[in-house]
Amino acid sequence: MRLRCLTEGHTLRHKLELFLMRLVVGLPPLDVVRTALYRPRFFGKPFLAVVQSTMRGKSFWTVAERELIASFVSSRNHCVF
Amino acid sequence: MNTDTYTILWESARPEPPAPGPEPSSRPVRRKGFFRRTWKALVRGLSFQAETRKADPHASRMALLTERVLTSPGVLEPHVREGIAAGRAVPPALAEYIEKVALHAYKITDEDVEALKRAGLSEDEIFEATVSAALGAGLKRLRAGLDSLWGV
Repeated sequence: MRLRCLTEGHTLRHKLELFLMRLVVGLPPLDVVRTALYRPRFFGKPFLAVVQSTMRGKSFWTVAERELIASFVSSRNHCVF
Repeated sequence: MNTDTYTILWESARPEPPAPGPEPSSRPVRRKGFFRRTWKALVRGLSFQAETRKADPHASRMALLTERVLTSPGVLEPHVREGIAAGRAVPPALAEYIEKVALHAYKITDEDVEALKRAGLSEDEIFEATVSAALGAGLKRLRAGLDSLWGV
């Protein structure tokens, strides 16, 4: 992470959530998650609502097909997420 | 090896003649579940058509995201964030970085972000500018995709 606020700038509540995630998964949380939990009212919450409805919501495409489309787009964008 | 053994081996190596099957009928062969599969394919095709014709089902959530990112209170003024998202009226210190975010974000290096910090921008300003630029680029591509889908 290039911005320190995205790794250390979370509120206490989100710090606790990130700590629990690390505890359960055993790995540091993904940068995407850390970004989404920083100032969530500005970006994270509405962004994750869009992600949830497009990737998991009702659709003609199955979840696997949507993930495949997403990974193709990401690879074209040279993005690892 | 006498001739008889040879003949037997030779005969056994030859493929079996095809067993006489039932008379070939003139009706086309249908696999099991033909009607069910045809019906399902038809329903799938029609539902795809219906889905692509109706309005974007995620529009309201995208509108909320756009509103939050571009107009909610932040360290950058809303009109600055709108300018960044639309690709016009970008603050000069950010111009190069914003273009990188929008067109090829994978080319951004630690040095780019460090340069912005040295230019006196706070981390929150960089964060907001990045999100606005990314959202603007994403919306542009979404618009292009939907236009090509609906032939607008």
